[in-house]
Amino acid sequence: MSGQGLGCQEVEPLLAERASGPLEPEQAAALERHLAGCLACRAAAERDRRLFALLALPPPGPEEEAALRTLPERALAAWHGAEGRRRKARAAVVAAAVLLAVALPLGRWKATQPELAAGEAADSADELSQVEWSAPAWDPDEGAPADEDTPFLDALALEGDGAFSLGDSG
Amino acid sequence: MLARRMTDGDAATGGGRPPRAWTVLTGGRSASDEALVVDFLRGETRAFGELVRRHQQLVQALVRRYASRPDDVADLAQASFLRAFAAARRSLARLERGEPGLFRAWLVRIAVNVGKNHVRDSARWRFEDASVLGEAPSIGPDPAASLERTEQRRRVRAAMTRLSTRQREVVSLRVDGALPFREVARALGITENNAKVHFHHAVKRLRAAMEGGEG
Repeated sequence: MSGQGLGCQEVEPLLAERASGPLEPEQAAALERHLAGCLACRAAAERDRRLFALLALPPPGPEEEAALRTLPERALAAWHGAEGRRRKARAAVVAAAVLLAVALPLGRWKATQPELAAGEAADSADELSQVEWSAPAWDPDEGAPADEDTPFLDALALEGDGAFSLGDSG
Repeated sequence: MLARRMTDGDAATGGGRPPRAWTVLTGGRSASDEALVVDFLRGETRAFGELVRRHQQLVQALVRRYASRPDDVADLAQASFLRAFAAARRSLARLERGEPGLFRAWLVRIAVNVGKNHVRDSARWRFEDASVLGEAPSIGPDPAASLERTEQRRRVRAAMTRLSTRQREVVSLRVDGALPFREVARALGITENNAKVHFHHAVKRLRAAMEGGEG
């Protein structure tokens, strides 16, 4: 911009800017001064006005206006609805996290149980074989074994059952 | 005018936190958008309505370009506001710093994106055919001139569809939103000079289309 005002070349881009929306106040004033004295630029300004009029959308109809009148209330209701869903989703995530925090260690613990059971079963089998091997060599013909041996064998049988039942469940 | 005062519940918030303030809306001119958003996110629901009323004409003007039916306009406008508030919640610290114009810039950018997504979903572009918003071919006293105007409109809108996305966005924000180039640039994340360059390239092609060229 010079002290002499705008020239036609400087004005040319401002014409479309003016036709399409607001200009800075200083620019707008300088442009108006130029247009007042320049027929060619006024014609170009009219061309750009027509161009942007072709692009403009028609004004909103009554249906559109009515829908927009209630926009603040409807948007707020939609926000509260979305917030409710968000809170529920967050609660579900927290619940899932708590469940995982409890279930994971439990799962790990349970996963170790079959190994223990198998180990225990093996130990029991060893003991049983030892029992057979080291069983008192009483003479069947001599009748039942001595009373003091019976509790030991009963206890051994229970121990074996317990081990196998654990192994089965795992 | 806007006054700020403490709620009865402020004392209850106690602890080391600053007291919770909210905005009493009696006109809303002096409160910035950013202050209103912060108030709303702290529980003052009236701030929501004030913000929507403040910007709904702009948002409506922007999303109309992308609407498939008149009913879509309110839905797209509502979606724009809800996304802008959600974005604001994620960037509360920036809003609390009071960066001026931040919320409006988000809102404009979000409205354009909401519109573009809608167009993508419905696979149409409104520059070519504005009849869905109730536009009828204008038949004036001179039928030949009316026909010529209708044909020019068709050519110009067809030329719009051939512009680059950025050029279309700049023209749309300017024509529909009547935004200054400074705001256009901020909403699109480009410089003001860059926005003007896109605009003038677009205008050259649109002028050529109006005058019967390819555009």
